Amino acid sequence: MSHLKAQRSDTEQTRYPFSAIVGHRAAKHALMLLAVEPALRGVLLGTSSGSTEAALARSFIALLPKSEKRASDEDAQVRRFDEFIELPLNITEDRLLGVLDLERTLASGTRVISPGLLARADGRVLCVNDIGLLDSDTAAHVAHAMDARCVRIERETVSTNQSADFLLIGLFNATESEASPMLRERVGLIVDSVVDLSIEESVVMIDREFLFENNSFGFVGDFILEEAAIKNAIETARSRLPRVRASKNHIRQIVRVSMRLGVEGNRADSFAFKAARANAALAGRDEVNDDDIVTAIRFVLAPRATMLPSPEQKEQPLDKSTDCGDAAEDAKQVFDADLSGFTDAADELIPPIDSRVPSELFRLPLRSPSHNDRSGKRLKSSTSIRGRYARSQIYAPREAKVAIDATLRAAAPFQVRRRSAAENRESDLASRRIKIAPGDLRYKQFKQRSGVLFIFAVDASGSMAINGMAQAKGALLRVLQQAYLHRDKVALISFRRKGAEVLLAPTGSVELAKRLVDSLPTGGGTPISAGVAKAIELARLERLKGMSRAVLVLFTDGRANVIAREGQTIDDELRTLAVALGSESIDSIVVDTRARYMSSGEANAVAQKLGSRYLYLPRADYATVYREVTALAGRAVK
Amino acid sequence: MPRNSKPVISTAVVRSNNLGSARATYPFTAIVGQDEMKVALLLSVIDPNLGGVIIMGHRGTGKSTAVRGLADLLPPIKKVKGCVYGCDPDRTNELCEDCIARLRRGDRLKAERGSVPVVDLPLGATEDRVCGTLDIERALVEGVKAFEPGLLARANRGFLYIDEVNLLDDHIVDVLLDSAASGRNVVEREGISVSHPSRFVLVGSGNPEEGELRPQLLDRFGLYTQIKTITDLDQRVEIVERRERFDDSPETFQDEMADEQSALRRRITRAKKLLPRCKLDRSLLMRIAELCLTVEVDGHRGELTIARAARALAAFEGRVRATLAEVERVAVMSLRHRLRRNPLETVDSGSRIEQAMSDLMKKSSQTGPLIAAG
Repeated sequence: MSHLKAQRSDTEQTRYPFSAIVGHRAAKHALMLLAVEPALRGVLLGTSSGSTEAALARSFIALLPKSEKRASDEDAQVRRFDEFIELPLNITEDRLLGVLDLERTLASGTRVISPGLLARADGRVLCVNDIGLLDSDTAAHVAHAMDARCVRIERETVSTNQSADFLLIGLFNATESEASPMLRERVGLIVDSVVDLSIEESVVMIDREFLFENNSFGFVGDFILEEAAIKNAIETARSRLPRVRASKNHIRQIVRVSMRLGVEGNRADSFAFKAARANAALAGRDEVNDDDIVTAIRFVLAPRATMLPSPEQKEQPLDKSTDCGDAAEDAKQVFDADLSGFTDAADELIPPIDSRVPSELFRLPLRSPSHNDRSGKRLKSSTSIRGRYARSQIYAPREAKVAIDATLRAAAPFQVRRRSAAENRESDLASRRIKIAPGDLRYKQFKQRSGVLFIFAVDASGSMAINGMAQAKGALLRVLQQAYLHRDKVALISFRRKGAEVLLAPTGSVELAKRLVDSLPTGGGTPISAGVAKAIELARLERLKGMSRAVLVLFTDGRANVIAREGQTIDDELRTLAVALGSESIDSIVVDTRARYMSSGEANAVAQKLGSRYLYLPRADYATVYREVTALAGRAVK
Repeated sequence: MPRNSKPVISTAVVRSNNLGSARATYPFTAIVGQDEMKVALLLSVIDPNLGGVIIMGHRGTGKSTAVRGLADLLPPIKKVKGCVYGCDPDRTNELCEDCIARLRRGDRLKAERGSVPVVDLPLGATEDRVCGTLDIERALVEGVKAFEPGLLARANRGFLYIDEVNLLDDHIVDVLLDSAASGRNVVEREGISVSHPSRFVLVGSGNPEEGELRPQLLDRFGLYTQIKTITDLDQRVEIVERRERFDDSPETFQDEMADEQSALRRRITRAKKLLPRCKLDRSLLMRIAELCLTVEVDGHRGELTIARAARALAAFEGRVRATLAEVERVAVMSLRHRLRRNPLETVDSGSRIEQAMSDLMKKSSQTGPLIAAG
């Protein structure tokens, strides 16, 4: 679907004009707000195709007023954020934070570091494509830098603080994975929705694309007035912003909506207030009005909602008062589109009950030949060159990266002696170089978080309500707890009615998973294949982030009755999925949740077709479970 | 601040209390609500032996703002002049090797007033910077094997703050646990063999949704406070307003809060002086033990923490005797992370402690004399 290429030459003349990009009104609006009020810190844009929005962000930066002299803007308040810098997903921690500069350190004899990407982003706009795929360590570093506006480095003999004040534009594929919550929290504006273009708009877009390809100079010339108008609007709004007044009532309006939506923390409230003022400035007003509040709700509060505004609250006379009724009403409207999936009278909520977890379940992930069964630890060997530089070692591994800091430290004490030995033979310059002997070399030892990803796919169909949903929940919680002890990651998928839904993206948090499991509703048909397909998709994504192994645990009674694609049988689908599971080397296990064991049960059949192991989940008393879990915990600690 | 316009930055090791923020600090006293967190932090200042605080909760609720604000409230301490570890000249049993050598030579340890270090342990810190290692420049230039102190040295007698504590690497956690237990940092690497004092108050913060904390590390923290998003409309409005005022002009805002800040600073100094005289009756200790028994706390760290925290709180209130009232206020934060975890538990461990505490209060109001003593 994409027709704009992100990797375009970046010169002024040939950049695709911002104003020529068709559609994407919300994204454009959010970017404009950020330009007017940099204190909003950034924008996350949901994309369907990725590249259109990347081009959008790129052409947008070109529109920002250039600051006169970069060197002189010592004062953070005059920062213009007018340049672009891209954060590649596969960046190493070294390159992100800064690393000891080998050449210069050796040449000068004093420690020299080359700044990392975060420090180089200072005063610029940091852009991340597919921000949802950023691994959690990188995301945490970016989030920290955004908080402190600097990078603090305590690495490889270097201890320093570098300014890193930047804006963040992140693009995430709304259908795949969201940006890390840490980043979502620190960015003011989020545009979640992906709006597909109408047929007319698509035609215009393709037209323009061809025009641009044939004659980019002419095309850019055609939009010169529009571009100037946008530039001008941003400039005017920026100078107006300090004059924009907002009353306490406006803050109350924002906070009230924020509370209704269950927005966590206080950052969003402040962001919403700033967004409202920026919107007023952009509209050429000196006073904030309801439109601005609605905009703020749309871009700041609504994407962070953890609950829907409840209808009972709406009836309270307090909320009907003039200061907030409208805004609350609008917030409700923002949500109406999403409401459908939530309120279904047929849904049932079944509390978890305790159940015995078959111990085989825990042993399964340790079975793989690449892992030592007895160690109980799932740490990968240190020969990998991915992950985090943990310490140095004297032996060179197969794939080696020299640990400069450690090598220098090893060589350092001998320098005086080696130098005097060399003095007679070498020129003056050469004799001042640091002398490294082969025996000084040290190598980086990397540690990669390499736990197992457990994907729990839970059948939440209507039949499960009778067939042991309560037990499934209980068992699920037990296994989650176990995963925590092993420091693994867990993800949760529920499938019912027509499709599967990722309830919980891979996380190390039991707490979050627990909450979600507790409130897992049931009802509708059983689309097993959709659930399995979703799990495979998740496992693939996680592999990109460095999680090497995945285990699918499928809780179901096996009564599959909804197909994922038209014109196929459930059996066909399951067999196709079995092949996919195999090629992705995902171990899978079907946990039968029926109340009574039947060897000819449907779940067993599903397991056979998927090539999964089959387990029956019997009832058990609490004491047995507790013993089991503590025994396992003891093993994990060893 | 080094600028990015220079391609290469030669590093001067920054030895300061700088918590790694380029921005002005938001005053502690300007933080709206979140009393449990504020009390816990203040108690750990008043009694550094409490074992520090961990603050877990929602994002954007002012966790790191509060910790960073704390630095401004710490009363200055006496340090040995010229000592990298900031040794206390009055406590000869906790001196570093250099200071001991000076004493042996018959030199007197000159004292100077200095600020309490608050050191940030950033994610991605490598082991050599945390523990300290060979001073590479001196080795290169002079051919001397000298020790370059790391963060554990800098944090001696102060605070070590770890944001996103649940994301900290396991091998760094191991190092921390070692020094936290012994009060010393032992370095044996690269031909260097050094042991130096490293007593610090560990302060951590994080969001439980990012991942779990290793039980050994969790147990190290004296107090555990849970922080939630404020649900009071007026307070939240106040937060936004204050934040706006601070963002507009940090200096003006700091000036506005200056009186409150110095009042709190004085109160902390008074409490620290009062603490050694502050008493806790034996009968109250029995009650504390009873409480810990009721909620099934493993080990004895729970009792000890409550007792210490209750005394610190009494000192903060300007009293010389801790009573059941103080115990009530500190019980939850002292015990919350020490209860046995049951994965199916839907009741928050905090409310379990509260329930046990209120039962205890009822009982003692029947028996009488305990509170009257305070």
